[in-house]
Amino acid sequence: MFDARFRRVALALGAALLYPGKALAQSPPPPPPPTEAAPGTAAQDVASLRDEVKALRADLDEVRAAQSAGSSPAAATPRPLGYESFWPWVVPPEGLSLKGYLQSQYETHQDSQDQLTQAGTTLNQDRFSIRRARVSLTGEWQYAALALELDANTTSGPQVDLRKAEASLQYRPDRKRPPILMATLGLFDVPFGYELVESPRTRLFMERSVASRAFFPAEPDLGLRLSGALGFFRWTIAGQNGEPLGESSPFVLQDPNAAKDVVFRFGIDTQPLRVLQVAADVSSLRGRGFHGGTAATSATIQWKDLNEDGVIQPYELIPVPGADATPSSNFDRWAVGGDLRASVQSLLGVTKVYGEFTIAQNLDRGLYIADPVVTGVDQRELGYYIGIVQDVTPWGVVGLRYDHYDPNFDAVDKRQGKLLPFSEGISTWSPLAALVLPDRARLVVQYDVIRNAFARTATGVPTSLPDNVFTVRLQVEL
Amino acid sequence: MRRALFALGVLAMVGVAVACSDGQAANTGAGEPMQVSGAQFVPGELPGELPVDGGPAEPEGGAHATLGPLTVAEVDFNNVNVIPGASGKSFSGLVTSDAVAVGVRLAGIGTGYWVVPVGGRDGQLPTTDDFAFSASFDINDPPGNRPLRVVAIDAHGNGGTQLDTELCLEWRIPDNRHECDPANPVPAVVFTLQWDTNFDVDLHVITPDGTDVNPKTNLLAYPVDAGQPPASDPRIDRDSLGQCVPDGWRQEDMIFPDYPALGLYDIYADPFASCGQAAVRFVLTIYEAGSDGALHATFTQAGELLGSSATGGGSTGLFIAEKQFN
Repeated sequence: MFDARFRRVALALGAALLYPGKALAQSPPPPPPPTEAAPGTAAQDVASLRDEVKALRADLDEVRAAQSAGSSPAAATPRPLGYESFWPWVVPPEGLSLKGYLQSQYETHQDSQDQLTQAGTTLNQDRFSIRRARVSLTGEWQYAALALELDANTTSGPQVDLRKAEASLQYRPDRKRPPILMATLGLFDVPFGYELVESPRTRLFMERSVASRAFFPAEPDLGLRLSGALGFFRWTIAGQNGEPLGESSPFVLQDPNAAKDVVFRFGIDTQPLRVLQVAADVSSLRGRGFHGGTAATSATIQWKDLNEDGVIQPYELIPVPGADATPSSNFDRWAVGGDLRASVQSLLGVTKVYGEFTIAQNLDRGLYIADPVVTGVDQRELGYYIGIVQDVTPWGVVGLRYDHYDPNFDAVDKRQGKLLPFSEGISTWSPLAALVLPDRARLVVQYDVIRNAFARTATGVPTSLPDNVFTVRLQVEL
Repeated sequence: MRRALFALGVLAMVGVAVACSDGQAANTGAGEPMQVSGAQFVPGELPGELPVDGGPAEPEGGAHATLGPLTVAEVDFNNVNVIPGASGKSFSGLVTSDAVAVGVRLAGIGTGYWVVPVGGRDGQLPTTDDFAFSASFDINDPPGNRPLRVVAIDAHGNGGTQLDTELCLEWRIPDNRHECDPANPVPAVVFTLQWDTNFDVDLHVITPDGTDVNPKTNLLAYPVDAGQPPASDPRIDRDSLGQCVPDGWRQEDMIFPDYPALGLYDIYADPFASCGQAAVRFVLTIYEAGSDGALHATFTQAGELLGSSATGGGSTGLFIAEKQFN
């Protein structure tokens, strides 16, 4: 955007410089008839005019050079079949540039209730909200790069977060392509799988899949990232704190243990045909979760109303001795996954088909939070999704995504004294339709049909709690 | 463009239709008069047949000798009385082993029932399975005797004969359980101060002799030699939100078991500590024993206190009303 504006300004400046030049050459009144002048004076005039022309030509060359410098990177920015690149493969304009977008929405949930939770938060989810209002500043120079992004939203009340703070050194000899080698230190999206690194600005579906949100409640975490693109090959290696933003713990964007989560992502991104783009990656993560210990306590007395009469009896007073502090401990967690996406250009527009799966252990940090120190059993998890997005002319898009998350392979339910295996899986069908003003705005309508195991039937068998979601979102970009 | 508009329109209509329709809305039973921990709330009536008047006939050879199909053999609990807003009251029982779950509700109130899967086989009665649950009660439940109704449910959702077990839901206004047993005499007078947020409000009553009775000094006459104060002595029953600890009551009562000493009583609401609240709305109600032997509200006054006016106990607070006893 900044680049386009600069281009227009530069063109206007060039035109302004050129136009008066021509005008000056045409508008003066015809010169008076030559008078008898000394030959020396005429030669001086010619020399003066030549100097002036030379100066004008130099100015013109300068303006052309400026125009050329301002426009070339943007023209070179690859836009694979209509879908933008994601970090760290984005090729931003040279110098500083500013971007931003706003997502405002209305949503209604089937399980919404006009009640409060025990913690005092609202159970009503039928509401208007600002889901994301983001401003980003990128800096792109020969050997250095910078990315800053701020997010404001009202999802859990008004709040402002830092979403990206990337300081990078890079080797990018071809300014039209991503860097061959880039080292980034700061706050960046965890490079695991495709959903985490895809910008919410370009993703048409309202949110990431349930599994992705359970494993990574928000995208960014602090750390060091090495990445590079060589031809069609893409690679990323990162070491991060392992306490991403949005995690349900007191250590968000901090790190209670010295071990870092190490993430690998290797893949390809290629366009074998003019109308076909294919990309695929495998990802892995290995790290250490943290189980917090307890502080020492003083001796106390508890009252348990054994006879439920609301009156203290001597035998209802229970002494609770003071307890020593318990130490904290770590536990292993890992995940492996793969993602594949293909985009095909047709007369109708671009068709994008993509999918991803993740197998993990003790990685859930947002939904069924894993802590094998407490349970004594490792929590094995599986998540996957498959989606399709179809352009319908430049002004419309339709899409459908199915995602499934099983937070615990080993879940059991107790009925009639028997432990019965059952699935805690959550499946979601998400059809959507959108109206698009290219590069400016889009209005998206999505309906999530959700199946879970949060309820029981009248015979006590686990069943789905109705919690389908309808969302209308308007996104406008700078 | 036309096709895109059409697709968007269809999806929008589907969404709006679903959003606006009654549908099978998820209901976790949060507004019910009784909530059962870990159980599933199901709107509607309990399955099965209504209870037999006088309870099921005891079979020959002992209580559990030959139980019919889908029978709730017994329901056990510690205390028939349910104090207002009671939390975690324990219930357990036995049900014939053809049941996979039991349904539970308070008879006559609420919009549905709770489903509790049965547990394991009972150790002593092999034809029965155990069940157990923990129930909490709304502080504003209608007071009085109320049956807890339980039914056995089989794997097809069929219910057996329901079993009623009487509970006494106590009134949040201290009436000496008169609502459950009319033979119990009610206090002569009760001053009740209730408020709407977690704000430490203290009820102050200045008696005709100038004594300030409040939650911090809650007795009108103190016992001698560390003995128990006579039950007939007036008192304030609790220090609600004391130390700003939420207790779910937001209510303090000045109870006069017998008719008060004659004279003029001044009643104040003291904003002791705001507990982080900007303001609090309160209502004072005076209840007096009527000729029918029950308590009746005879005076009501509402008001508001601001967080900035918290006294920390430095004064009696805002004057609300005076009450003359002749």
